[in-house]
Amino acid sequence: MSEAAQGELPKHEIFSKPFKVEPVYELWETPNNYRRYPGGDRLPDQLKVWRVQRQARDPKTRMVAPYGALAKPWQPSEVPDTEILVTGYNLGKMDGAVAVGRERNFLQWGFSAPPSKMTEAGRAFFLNSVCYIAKFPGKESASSK
Amino acid sequence: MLTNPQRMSTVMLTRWIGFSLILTIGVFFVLGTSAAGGLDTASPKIDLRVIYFGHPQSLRARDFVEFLERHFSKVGQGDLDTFRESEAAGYDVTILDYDELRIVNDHIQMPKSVVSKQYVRPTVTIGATGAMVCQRLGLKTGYL
Repeated sequence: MSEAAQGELPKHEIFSKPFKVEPVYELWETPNNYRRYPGGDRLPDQLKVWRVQRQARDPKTRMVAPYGALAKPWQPSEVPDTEILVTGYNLGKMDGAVAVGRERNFLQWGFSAPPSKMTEAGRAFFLNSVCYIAKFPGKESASSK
Repeated sequence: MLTNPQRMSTVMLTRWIGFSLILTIGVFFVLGTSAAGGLDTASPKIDLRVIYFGHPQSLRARDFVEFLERHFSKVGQGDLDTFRESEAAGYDVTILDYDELRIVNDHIQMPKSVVSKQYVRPTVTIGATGAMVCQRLGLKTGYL
């Protein structure tokens, strides 16, 4: 996982409530690892990304410590109560790997930096994520009561 | 040909229009900034109760908690290593995080946080620790 989210923001309240997330887009080289996956050969040479955090990459692993995490992409339309919120630019997995996603009452924030190392857009997105997941209290099953 | 008093009033009028324009632009700029909800402005705290579980006393935990305290009406703190679901009671959102994880014999070592499948509180899981929590629960957001 790198320090950046990949792609333009989709239309979703998590990018505007309560804080407007205003990413600064950059064009980064398409990682070679993306080419190994189906469809990777059709990707452009550069991809649009925006920095969520500003921690430096480890020159050996080319990852950002403490390491973040990505999830395998899925089809939210086929898995109830899930959302893919942003994908992460990465140097080891596939294009479209999920950096921030939700399933039920859990929102996984795959980036690793503490707030002081996040960008302004990253901090706004993080605060919005906390506010957004508050809307998803799960339902207690009869056995757990 | 303008007389001296006429020239003076034209100059004054031009200055007044210029001043008004600058004032109007300034007002619009200030209003626009407030509407965008810049994080570093003294905006009112968000009415949510948030509890952060991480590695107590670490710089990372302090960083998160101080940030959360600036933005949310109530912020609690706990130790992920001893996290119990009942500790999240009384809060709207729980955050599960930790410091840098250690890899021993190709296995990621992390606190033995136990989150059961019956756990229903809105929760943000962070980074590698968060992905492990999700993986243990069999969620799509688990480690790739």
